[in-house]
Amino acid sequence: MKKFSWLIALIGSLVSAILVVTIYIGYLSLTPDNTANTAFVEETNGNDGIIALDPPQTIPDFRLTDARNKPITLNDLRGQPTLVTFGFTHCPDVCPITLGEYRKIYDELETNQDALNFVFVSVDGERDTPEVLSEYFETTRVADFVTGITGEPDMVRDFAWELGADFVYRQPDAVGNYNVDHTAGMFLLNENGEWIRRYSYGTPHPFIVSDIQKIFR
Amino acid sequence: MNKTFTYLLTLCIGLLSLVACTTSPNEIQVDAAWVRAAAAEGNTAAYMDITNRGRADVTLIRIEGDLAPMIQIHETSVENDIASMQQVDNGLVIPAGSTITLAPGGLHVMFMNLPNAIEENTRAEVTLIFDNGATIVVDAPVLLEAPDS
Repeated sequence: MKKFSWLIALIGSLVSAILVVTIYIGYLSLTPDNTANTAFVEETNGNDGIIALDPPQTIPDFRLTDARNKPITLNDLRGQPTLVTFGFTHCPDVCPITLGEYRKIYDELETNQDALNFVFVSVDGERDTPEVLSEYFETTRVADFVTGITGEPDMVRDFAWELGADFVYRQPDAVGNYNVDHTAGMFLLNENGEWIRRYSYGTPHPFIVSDIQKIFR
Repeated sequence: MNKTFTYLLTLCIGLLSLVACTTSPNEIQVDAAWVRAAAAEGNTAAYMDITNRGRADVTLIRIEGDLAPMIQIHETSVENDIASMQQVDNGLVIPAGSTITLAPGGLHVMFMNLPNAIEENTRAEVTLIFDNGATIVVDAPVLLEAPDS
């Protein structure tokens, strides 16, 4: 009987210990972790994520390649305002979100939709050939209105830096797939090819559309 | 005799609490799953809500499917307007009694090196494997963007 009692006590203690550990883990998982988004929320609270450049900032010309494999320069974009974003076709999450934004902006601009250039600049010239870019625009249903730009990463970076944008290549995996960390917001140039706005990633969509509409009034 | 009763009572409470602190496979539920359409050779993502109705945390340890040779759980983060992605190491924990949402701009299932295009308006199957033995096959629509956007 005594032996049996010890066994019961042992099992009882073990079970209690498991219970305590489980409750503790449960408590840990309930503790909120808000650190990830704090910086961004602070940044957007003050100005809705929109930064205006006044006076407009001149940016130097560039010579890169478009998705039709033709040379493209800043001068080709002049004559009407231009929305610019940076990304790459292997980007599974943020870039499709931004192109979704592009589709919504294009739809909501209605009569003005063709008075704005929509530009997607690849930060991954190694993989994003003009052919890959144009297939990507077909898949994402923006081929009708988005101008793709690609080229030597260093030459793309020169252009990006003029807008305060940047990108960094991450380590490739075993089969050579890699990610590119990159500036995720959008940039607006006026009809003279001068930089006038920065829209931080996550800027509420209606703010972007109404801000762009202002330049057509 | 009184002592034996106390021991038995302890045992019963212990066993009860053990039973009360588990999650059975059928207590995990996946809702609102969709896969983003993508071209061949690229990467894409799947999104869903995973609910754990049990009383113990469970961990999504592996995802399998024919869509891609490599499938991982990743999280997008944007800091100082720079977007980056991190693999979620050691699986995704779904705490007891809660729902974890995988959504654009945050947690997502990432499919890498797609052998074939994933065409919009088709369906795709992925299998989620959890550490409590649950295996959930998800048949998800292939969409261009989130259904509510």
